[in-house]
Amino acid sequence: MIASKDVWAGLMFIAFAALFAVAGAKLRLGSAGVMGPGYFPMVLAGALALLGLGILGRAVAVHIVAGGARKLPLLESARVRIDPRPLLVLLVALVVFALLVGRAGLVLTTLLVAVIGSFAGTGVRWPQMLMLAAFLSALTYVIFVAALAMPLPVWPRGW
Amino acid sequence: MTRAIRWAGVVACLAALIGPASFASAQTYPDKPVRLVLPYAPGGIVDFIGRTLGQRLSEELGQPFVAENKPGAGGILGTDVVAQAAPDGYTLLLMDPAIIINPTLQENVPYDFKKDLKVVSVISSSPLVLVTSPALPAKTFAEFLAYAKANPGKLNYGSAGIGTTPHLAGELFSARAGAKAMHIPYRGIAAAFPDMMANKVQFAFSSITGAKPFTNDNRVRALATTGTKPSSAYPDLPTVAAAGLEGFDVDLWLAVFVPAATPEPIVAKLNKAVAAAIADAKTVEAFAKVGVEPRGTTPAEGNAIVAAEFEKWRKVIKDGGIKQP
Amino acid sequence: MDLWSNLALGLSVAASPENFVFCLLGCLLGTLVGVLPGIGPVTTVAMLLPLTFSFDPVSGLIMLAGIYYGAQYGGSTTAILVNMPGEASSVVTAIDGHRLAQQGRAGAALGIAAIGSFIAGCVATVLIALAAPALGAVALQFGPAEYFSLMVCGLVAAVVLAHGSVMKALAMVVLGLLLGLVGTDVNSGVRRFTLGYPQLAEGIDFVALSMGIYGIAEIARNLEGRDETRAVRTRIGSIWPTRRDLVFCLPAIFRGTVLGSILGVLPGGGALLAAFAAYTVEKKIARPPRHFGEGDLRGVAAPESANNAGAQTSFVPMLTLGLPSNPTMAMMIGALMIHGITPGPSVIRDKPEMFWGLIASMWVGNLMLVVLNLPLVGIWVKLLQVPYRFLFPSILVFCCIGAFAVNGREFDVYVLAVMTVVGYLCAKLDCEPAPLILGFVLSPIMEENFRRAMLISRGDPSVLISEPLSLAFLLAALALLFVLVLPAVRVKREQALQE
Repeated sequence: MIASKDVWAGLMFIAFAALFAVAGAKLRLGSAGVMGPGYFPMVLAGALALLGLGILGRAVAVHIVAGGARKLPLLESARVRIDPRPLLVLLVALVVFALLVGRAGLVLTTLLVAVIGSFAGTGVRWPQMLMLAAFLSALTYVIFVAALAMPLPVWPRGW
Repeated sequence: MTRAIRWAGVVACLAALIGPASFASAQTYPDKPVRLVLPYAPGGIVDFIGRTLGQRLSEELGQPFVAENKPGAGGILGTDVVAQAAPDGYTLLLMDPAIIINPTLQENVPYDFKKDLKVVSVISSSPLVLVTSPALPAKTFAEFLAYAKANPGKLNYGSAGIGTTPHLAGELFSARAGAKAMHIPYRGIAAAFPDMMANKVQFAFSSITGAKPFTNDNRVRALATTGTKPSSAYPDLPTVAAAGLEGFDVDLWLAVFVPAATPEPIVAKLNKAVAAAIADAKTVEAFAKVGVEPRGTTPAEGNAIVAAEFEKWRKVIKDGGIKQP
Repeated sequence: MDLWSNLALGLSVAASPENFVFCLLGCLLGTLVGVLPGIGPVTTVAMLLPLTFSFDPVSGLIMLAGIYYGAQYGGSTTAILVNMPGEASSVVTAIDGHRLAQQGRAGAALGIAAIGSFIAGCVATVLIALAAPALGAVALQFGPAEYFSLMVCGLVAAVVLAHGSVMKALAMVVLGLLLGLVGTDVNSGVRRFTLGYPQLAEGIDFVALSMGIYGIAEIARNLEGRDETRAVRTRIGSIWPTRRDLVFCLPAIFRGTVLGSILGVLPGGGALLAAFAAYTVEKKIARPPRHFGEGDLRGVAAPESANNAGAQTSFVPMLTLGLPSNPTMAMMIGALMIHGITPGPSVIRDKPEMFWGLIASMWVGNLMLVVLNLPLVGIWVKLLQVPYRFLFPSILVFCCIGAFAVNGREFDVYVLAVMTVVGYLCAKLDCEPAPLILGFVLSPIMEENFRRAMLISRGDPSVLISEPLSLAFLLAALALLFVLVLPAVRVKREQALQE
């Protein structure tokens, strides 16, 4: 189990390293003495790739030593249990917040985001949830608008 | 009949096109709160001047002028907010020379300051001050100039970052003096002072507020200011121009801008209010605390000044090879 | 002795009814914004700065200072209760603090954090009174080479924070370093990795990053299917730390205070480095060491003390040198200048009532904070009994507002979403986030200073070892790396052979 997590971790780091290497490919490198903007990121991306390879390599090696003839740990990825539903619901809630807050204001947006977010959990009880959302909406008003007087959009635009 | 309808359509279209502007009448302006966008974070000079000005303008025109910080991307984000705002006089911008330096220096600057914005008034002037490491033998500007000429490629100068006025002033000095000085950028000018005290960096053109804490007790040496006349913050220092580099003029001016399509009567009304606000003794006193002197121009003068500054700095940036790939 | 007359003068200023109220106000506000995710002292001080223009400068300064160190007290609360550090420095507190909360010892952790902060605050106050100029001089010893070497040392130490694989921790540090480079490169003005978004020109917002990686990614994990145990915390132990806890933690508190006081004066990440360093030191020298990372009170006491001591000594270079060590201090310099006061060595001589008044107010403020915070512990602990289905939508909402409110732009909420995914992936793959955060915060300082050192030396890297202080840090980093890697290799080999 640990082995397969490490395999994925190694791959993740290699992917991040590749991402930064590609995104930074156009940056001028310069030399170690007079560095351009691309030098430090490239060195780091290289280091990250090496570390990723190291993690991956060790995971595979440990697996071979320990597991003998078993299949490659990549196939055991199921052991990294992922239940994507809560994550996806939360991401939707975040995007809704970003889309709405400028237009609908803080009070309504918080209400809606709390409702949407609640569906990340299991067994939603509507009355309780609505009460919580209303409470949170009121609380944010009290804290951010009344107490801290932050310059935030509070009500829908044009009201 | 059909013709009448067609005409009505044309009129309606025209009304829609010029609508926002035509409703903003100069007589009633302002009849609701006005936004004054400050493209920098709170705590700096632009923030302080903006808030002081906003308060004075509220008193002049009877509506709140609300200072609003929109920091980001060296002022580009806040400037763009105003460039895209409705040209009705309810969104103003207070900005420094970065507004005309950024378009030359940066890629993909979203606004065109000539097409999208126009000047209400250049409200203030503030010179930079040339400070040097106390370890240098030069005690006056003339000596320093001679020293810089005699040591090409050996001196370092600090700045508040690439493309900031202290950087461009240093570049201009280096070119005029033939000093070939090395630019060492810092995140804000304050960070450069410890290295200047240790003589790792030999000189810098600093904002007055940045330099004051260090020049008060001579931990670094102040040699000259960069305006056309001596600064009230450093009355004993000569100007760079008077002390040896003729025509050397670097000014950290501040100007109020509005979207370019803002009706002239509103601009005129604002210009009058701004002029009254900065003539007020309390404003002068508040500005002086941060080394800023009130200026005040007509819109036409202001636009000419800003256009001239654009050309001046564009040349320094091009000649100095400051823009890097 | 001078010290006493100075402190007496300070106390007379700080204890005037007006200043007392301002100090209390600052501490209250600070605690509030410290507890709220996202809205930190920088935002609050920025908001209130214009207000203080009309105050007496001493009163204004006392209030702003109260916000600043009050927020350090409050910052640990969410870190311990819901594993959501609002400030970079409370990232360390969260490691052991949140484990303690899960074990039903949230009260003890919060109590120790408050007491440790108080002791650190008192010691730091006396230290400043005794040796302000000497402390200020520390900041001047640091040129670009010294900063770079110190950062290297700090990053190697970051690996100690993780209690899993050294390689993964190192990889997380490097990933953090890369993320920290997003934005405008100070040395060339070029924008790196901004993907064309001008909103990224000043880098990824720290609040969005940490709220995503800690706050929301944690909710996503807690809500997953069978993993109920993490969410439900039934056992609430004793609310207060016991006398034994206190004695147990006292050495850690003092070591943290000393480290924090020294590192706090360094510009850029000083207080943060202090918290990390204090934790690292405890983990390496405290006996018995085995509980670190699994809920050791000393893992809360040391960084919280360091953090608070550092917050206090960071005023020293600001006041006595005119050198701001962080954005909050830069704003305070602005506030002073507007009042016509030029910070610098002459401040102590010319404005003794302001300097000593501020120092004394810090002590007064610390007393207020501990009085304020200890009773609050009871309330906070009760908060943990709120069912998770109510708690998590609240955290979600506060994270959203926190990320949004820092710069008032929607973009940062999208950044929050992306960072949530990154944090979720890392957590799923047993990669701990604390080293990433440290790398993220320190990488711009590290790169900038390295390149600055090279520019000044005209490309000669020997400056890094010819400056004695720089050499010392590099050697320390090397030694630390050696100590770290050696046992890890041995243990891993044994594990592999056993399996």
